[in-house]
Amino acid sequence: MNRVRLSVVLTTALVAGVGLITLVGLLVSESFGTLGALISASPIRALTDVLLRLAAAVLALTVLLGAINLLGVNVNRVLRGRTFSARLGSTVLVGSFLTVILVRIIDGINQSSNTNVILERVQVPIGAALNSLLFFVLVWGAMRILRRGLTWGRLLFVLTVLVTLASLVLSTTDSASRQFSEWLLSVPVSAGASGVLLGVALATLVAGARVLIGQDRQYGE
Amino acid sequence: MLDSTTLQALTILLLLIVIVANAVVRRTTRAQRPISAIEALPRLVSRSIETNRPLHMAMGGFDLGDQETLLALAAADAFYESARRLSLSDAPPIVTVGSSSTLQIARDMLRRAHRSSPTASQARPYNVRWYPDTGFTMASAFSVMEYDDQLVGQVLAGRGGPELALPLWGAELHNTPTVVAATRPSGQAVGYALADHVLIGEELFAVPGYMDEQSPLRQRTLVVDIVRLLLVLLLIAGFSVNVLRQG
Repeated sequence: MNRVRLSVVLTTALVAGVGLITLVGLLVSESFGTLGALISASPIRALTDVLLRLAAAVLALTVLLGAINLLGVNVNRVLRGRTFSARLGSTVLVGSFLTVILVRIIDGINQSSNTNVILERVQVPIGAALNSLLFFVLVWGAMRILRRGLTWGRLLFVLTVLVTLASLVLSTTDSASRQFSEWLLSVPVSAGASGVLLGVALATLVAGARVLIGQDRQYGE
Repeated sequence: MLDSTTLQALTILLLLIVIVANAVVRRTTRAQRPISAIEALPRLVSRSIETNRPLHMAMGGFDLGDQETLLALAAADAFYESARRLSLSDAPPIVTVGSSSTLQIARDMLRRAHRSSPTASQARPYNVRWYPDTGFTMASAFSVMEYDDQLVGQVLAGRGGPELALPLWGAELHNTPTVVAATRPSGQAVGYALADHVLIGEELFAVPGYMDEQSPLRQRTLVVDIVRLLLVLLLIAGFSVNVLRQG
């Protein structure tokens, strides 16, 4: 016989209960006839508002948790990193973290904007450098596909990329290759992308419905 | 845009379909098709235990409080079984999150995994890190982790985008196996080109059911299959009606 822990039952009941109250509070309107009127007369709407505000407040606090985690992990890596580069990288990160906080405090006192200088002089150029590196990596990725062995799928993938790039760079607006490329993007590529997104959305909906009816209970203990 | 009455009707219909499908799959035992990315996970776990090097599992930038909430939970579910098996390793897995709101979910997943394993080692099991999913921050952090933490492999879930190419390139240079589960088509394309294995679309939701045959989440995969079949039939019916009307 399967034993179910009490804590799992309580957590599941809490999640399903809060989920259902919020769903009913958000979904059932006046146009729902008698049920709508009943819901409006009950405190469910007010309870839904409280639950949503509570969730927003808790989520806002998690940013602080994130900053503490970032600092804690990197201080730990400075002391016990597996490699020298891990210790060095974390030292730079902790140093940058403390510097930005210090600069921010000084900015606040002096009414200056040195934080923006750090952003413009350090972060933006690094982002630009990584962007240019990304282009070469993507080209290398296309080559890697063919190196792994040729299958119909891989050949189709590479040909699609090549045709699209070639038509964008070489052809004029009304050329046949440009029209073919546009058709490729708007029909088969768009259909494939829609299929992927629809699949993810469908699984998300099913998972949500199963949480509401208490079938998925992997959270908590 | 759908009006509120249609949305209400669709929500109730969906709940009913899921309840009926749940009842149907309870009596069903069906073999599942092999998915190479999921088959690779136990191999990565074994390699991590043998080599005493950590496995990196990224939950991506999924956020709590919006439409990605369930994707965040799905990513945590997907990593649970691997984390449970890794509990006996001296090199605990490194779990990264892109949103600070999912830090506690990742920690809770590792805590449950550690507690449920009878052979868990004494190693600290809560190696959870937050790398903000903005611009290149997360991608560059993953690229550096490859060498810095001596990773045995990387399982990268998340929205995905072109920047995913950077850590995958780093992994390729170090000959480290990679698995990608991206929900955006651009991430899927990069994963297809650069990763060793890719989980396509909703396959992220299927991982728990594949990794553990006793998992109640195995039913979820079957329910998704049934609802997908219904949706396909609905689309074909709608298309046929449109064609007949025009004819």
